[in-house]
Amino acid sequence: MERWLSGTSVVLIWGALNTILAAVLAGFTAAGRVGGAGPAGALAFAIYAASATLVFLIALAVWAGRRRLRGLKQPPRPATAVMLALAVAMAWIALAVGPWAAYMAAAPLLVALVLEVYPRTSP
Amino acid sequence: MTAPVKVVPFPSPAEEERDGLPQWLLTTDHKRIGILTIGTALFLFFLNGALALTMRAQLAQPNLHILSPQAYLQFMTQHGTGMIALTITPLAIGLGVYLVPLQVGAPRMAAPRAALLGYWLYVFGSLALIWGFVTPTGGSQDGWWGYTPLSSGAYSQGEGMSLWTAGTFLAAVGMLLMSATMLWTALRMRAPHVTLPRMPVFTWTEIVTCLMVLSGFPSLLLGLGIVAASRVDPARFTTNGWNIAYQNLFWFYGHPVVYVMFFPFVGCVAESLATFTGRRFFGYKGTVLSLLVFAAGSMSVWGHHLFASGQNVNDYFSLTSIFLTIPAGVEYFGFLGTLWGGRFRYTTSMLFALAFIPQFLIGGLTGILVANPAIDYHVNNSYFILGHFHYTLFAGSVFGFFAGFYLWFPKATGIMLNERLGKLHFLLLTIGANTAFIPMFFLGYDGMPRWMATYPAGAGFTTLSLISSIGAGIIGLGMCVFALNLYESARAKVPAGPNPWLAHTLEWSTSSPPPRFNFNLTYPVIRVHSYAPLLNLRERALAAQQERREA
Repeated sequence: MERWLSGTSVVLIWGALNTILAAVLAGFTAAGRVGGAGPAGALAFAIYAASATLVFLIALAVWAGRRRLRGLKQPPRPATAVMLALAVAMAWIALAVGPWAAYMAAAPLLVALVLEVYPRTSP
Repeated sequence: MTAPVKVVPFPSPAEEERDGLPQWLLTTDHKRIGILTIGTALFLFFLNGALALTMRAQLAQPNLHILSPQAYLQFMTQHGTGMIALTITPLAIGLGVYLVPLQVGAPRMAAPRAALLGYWLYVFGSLALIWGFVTPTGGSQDGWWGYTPLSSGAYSQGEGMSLWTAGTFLAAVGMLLMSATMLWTALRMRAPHVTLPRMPVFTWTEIVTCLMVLSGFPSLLLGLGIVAASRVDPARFTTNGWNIAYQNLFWFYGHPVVYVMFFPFVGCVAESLATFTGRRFFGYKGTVLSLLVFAAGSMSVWGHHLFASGQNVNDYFSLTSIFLTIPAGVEYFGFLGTLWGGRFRYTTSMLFALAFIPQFLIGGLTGILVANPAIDYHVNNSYFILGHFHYTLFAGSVFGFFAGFYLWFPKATGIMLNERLGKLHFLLLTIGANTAFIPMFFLGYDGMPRWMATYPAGAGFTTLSLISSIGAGIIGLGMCVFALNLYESARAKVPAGPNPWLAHTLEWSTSSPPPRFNFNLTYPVIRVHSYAPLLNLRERALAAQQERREA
């Protein structure tokens, strides 16, 4: 079991299980079961099929990303993450308070960009 | 004694993180991100719990008007969204962010800045939801699902609903990012000898949780996009097709998230039972396989929330929902097999784990009942459903969380929690949960609908509602004892040592709290031969001792 069980295979197994279940749903929908016929049934299948496809994309990413751990240094500029989070939050809050919040989101985004482009030199 | 196989270079003092507030808030150490997430979620647990207590106070007697009907709906929406999106999901993910790298022998987490970004998105999302709740026009009144068209700008005016949409979106993206980094760590950053079948059950539960988050949460983001667009332009999504589309998108997230909120706690219970019976977890391979099947199956059952809509393949969703009893049964078999013949130590963690087993079973079995459309039509939108998911999420998940919290608190902080207060906490929570939630089944079966701000005196709900409210009060008291325990333990500072419980998994081989990069020259990564490496070492040492004695 240990030989063939890898990160990729775990995600693939999971994707395969979801594919089987989505295929069964397609069968029920195609058979015109009550409530399954028409756009509602097709939509339910489309959502599930899209999700199962996403799992295979994750498996592909896990398979492709076999890079080794590069040292133990702490990642630089963690403030970038906070600024980026603030920018995204402000953009969404514009939904409640008006578009000015989305314009203001440019400020933390710019700070995040500056932090990334001009890294602070540490001793 | 087995020699360590991989020595992680001891970090220089410059690499050790300092303890100031900015260092904590900008940390890229997975342990601190995990503690921040769990701490924030626990704070919100108290906040959202207080809302529930206020609602239960109103329902204790008929015709009470502590809250107006509008305020009641706002409290309920905030309680539901707050508990699901801001409390229990982050507790489940935060626990994994802290523990998974330690359990797989990784010195750090993959993409720690993405995890930090996730944490801050979660914080800003929580703030947006709380802000929406206190705006002059009031918070969202649309329930934790935010169904359209009620959530559109035409029917829910004011900032509350918009901030609910923004907050839920941000918190969901935050959890997605944290899950992605955790999954990558477990699958790609394990110590060389920690193969997948040697990972602890808890790590497996977090892997399947991450898979469900990555598969299910994008659907919510899409759905919230529809809500956001319908708030800007209410005329855009007016046909019923969009409403059904939103319901499908929402529940494609909304059902798997229930499993996201309990799988990690199943892992906590499994580790606690194994530790405090002194045995390996029974049926490891079967349990791991059942977790994968259970998680995949859980993606296929969302339609049972739409049974009453008439726009759904009810027989498929009923079949898949009932099918889940098979993998659930395998897990329960594992629990019971672990207990069989074990040497019990009744610590607080063990008591929470033991209580989880029957209580979660009640949540699960009532789930099978409502997976049957004929029964669901009768109890749909009634207190029966409330009883079912409070047994699943509180009497199940929260108990599982506390089993894990009492187990790993000494590891994370280096100090012990007070066991006497812990047992009082357990007792109050057990009495409170069962007193609060059992009456809900009977109330629901007798026709008491959810969303009811108050009820008339002759409705026949008074006695059971009062009992339920008393139970909620006892839960509140239990949580106060928990807060007192945290304070007392922080004051007493009883040192924990690396492995105070004689636990079996890799994280217990390092110091408490672990160093910056989890393992170092003093506490190296030991060679792992199974999912219980420390138990292996102890057994080998015991065997050698016996051999020497015989010789």
